Amino acid sequence: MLTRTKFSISVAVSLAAAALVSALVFRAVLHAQQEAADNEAHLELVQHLSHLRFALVEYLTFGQERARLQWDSEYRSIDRIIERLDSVGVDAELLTRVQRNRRAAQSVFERLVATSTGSGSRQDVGREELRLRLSSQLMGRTQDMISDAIRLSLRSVADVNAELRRIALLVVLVTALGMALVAANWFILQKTVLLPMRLLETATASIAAGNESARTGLPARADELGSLARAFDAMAESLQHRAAQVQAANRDLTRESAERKKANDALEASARALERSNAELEQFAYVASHDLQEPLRMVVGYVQLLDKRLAGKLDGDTREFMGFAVDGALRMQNLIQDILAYSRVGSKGQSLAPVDSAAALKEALDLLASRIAETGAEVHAQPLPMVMADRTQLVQLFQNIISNGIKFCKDHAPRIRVEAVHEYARWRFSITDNGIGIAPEYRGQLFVIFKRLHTRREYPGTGIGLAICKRIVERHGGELGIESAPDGGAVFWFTLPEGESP
Amino acid sequence: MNSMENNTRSIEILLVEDNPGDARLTLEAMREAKVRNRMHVVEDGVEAMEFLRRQGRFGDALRPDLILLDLNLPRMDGRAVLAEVKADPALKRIPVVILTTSNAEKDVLRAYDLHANCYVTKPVDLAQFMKIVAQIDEFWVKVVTLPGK
Repeated sequence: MLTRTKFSISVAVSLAAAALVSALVFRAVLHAQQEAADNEAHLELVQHLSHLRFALVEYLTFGQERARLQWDSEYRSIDRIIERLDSVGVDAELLTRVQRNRRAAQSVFERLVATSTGSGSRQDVGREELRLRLSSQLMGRTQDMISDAIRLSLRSVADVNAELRRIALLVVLVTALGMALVAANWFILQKTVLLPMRLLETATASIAAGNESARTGLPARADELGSLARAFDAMAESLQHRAAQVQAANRDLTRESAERKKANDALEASARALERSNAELEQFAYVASHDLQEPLRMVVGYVQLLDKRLAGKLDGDTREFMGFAVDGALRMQNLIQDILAYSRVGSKGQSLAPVDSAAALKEALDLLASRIAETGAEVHAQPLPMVMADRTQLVQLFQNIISNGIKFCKDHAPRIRVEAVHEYARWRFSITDNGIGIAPEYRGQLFVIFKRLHTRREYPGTGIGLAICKRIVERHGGELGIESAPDGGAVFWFTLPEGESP
Repeated sequence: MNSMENNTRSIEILLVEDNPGDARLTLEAMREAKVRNRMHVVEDGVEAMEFLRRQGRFGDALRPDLILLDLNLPRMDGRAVLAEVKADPALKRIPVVILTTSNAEKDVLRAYDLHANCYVTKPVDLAQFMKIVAQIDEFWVKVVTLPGK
């Protein structure tokens, strides 16, 4: 049952009880008032009956007219009082008897008066006798009347008392009922409101203190606080569930962050190792550029000096052997230079900036000017874009690829075409030659350092040039490759990120 | 003409080079170039400074018209020699040509930062080397007007 219903019923019962009790008390008070008024009338009746009796005694004693008039007056007063009283039961019986006695007394009194006014000595003895009889009758009647009136009065006093007792009893009953209602209300309040509220408060405080498994523990009830408690328990359940999820997620995060930190530390350590090894490599490169070349210069320089000084005195074999010695040393020097260039792609690179690739190509062609002139090569360039690049390395890239194209074109004049097409956010450069081309099965090996596909006698070189190209393009985040040109030559292509417009 | 005037007297060149083979090769190249010069060779930076300041066994050394300086030297290396020469008011006008095997960019930049007058990388090939020495000679001895002694 809903708490509201319980309290509604309780209030209704209280109001009904109060109304009933009020009505009962009101009626009892009205009764008591009526009885009190009756009692007053009864006492007045007693008084007037007493006066009537006095008037009678006075008349009998003195026979005066005034006493007779007094009788009449009292008689009328008594009549008026009786007229006013409206009684039932025993009271009515008594009253009727009083009335009857009064009327009888009146007729006796009139006979007595008639007896008294007559004169004649002859009849005196008889009359006196009659007077005495009548007087005695009247005395009896009036006495009866007074007795009855007193009885009436006593009865009405008893009635008033009875009503007062009834009122007192009602008041006691009302008090008891009120106390019972208050107790009942308290019980209902305690059971339906205060206890659930205390349980809710305890559970709330417990959850607030961190105990997520706290519940109200209220037995299933159909009232408002029952559904509030159920809703609260559901909420606590959901909170606990979510808190568990958050905790699990937190644990995962902590673990993840620890793992990430470990990975970061490892990464930092390897970055430091890389930095160290880069520094060592740089030092090595420096030593190579200086200390390795000096002995070579001695070999080449003095063999050539001998050749020069002894010109004409040496036979063919000796000069050929000296030629091999010089050639070997020069190749060694080229190798050293190329290895240096290869290592510098990584260690000496500048940061990428917008570069006009047409200008870079022109610079490469300037560096190759003597080779181009010697071989009669033709280089045609389409309009070339701005790219994001390390300018020095872009020049070297063009130089290596074009130089390669010229080199592998022995039988006829090399023709080389340079062009670029835009794809997404980058440019794809292709450099097409009309040389000997490259068989598809060798393409994969082409960019491997020191990899040569021909003898030195056919095509000289260290095998590092294209490896340098690959390193440069990869440093720019691009790709490179080689394809066959339709007319048998090769197409080297590479991609570079686009640069802003000039 | 200055070149004619310079030709009338011997040019004093100080070569600072620790490798005797290299020094000899440079001497030979100078000889080939047919320059009237006197080449003085010292083997490290300390000796070079002593020569320039006429200290110790170089008490009667002549002030050179040109210094050919290698970079990697024992005891006191070429960079320190260059810095000291260019910081010394008495010596800083002498042209210093860095003549070295190294073509490392940092060496080139460092040398010019220290006010080297030029930087030359020695080629491996003898003919090219001789050409370069001849060009140094041509430029610094015949073309450029050097400060008087």
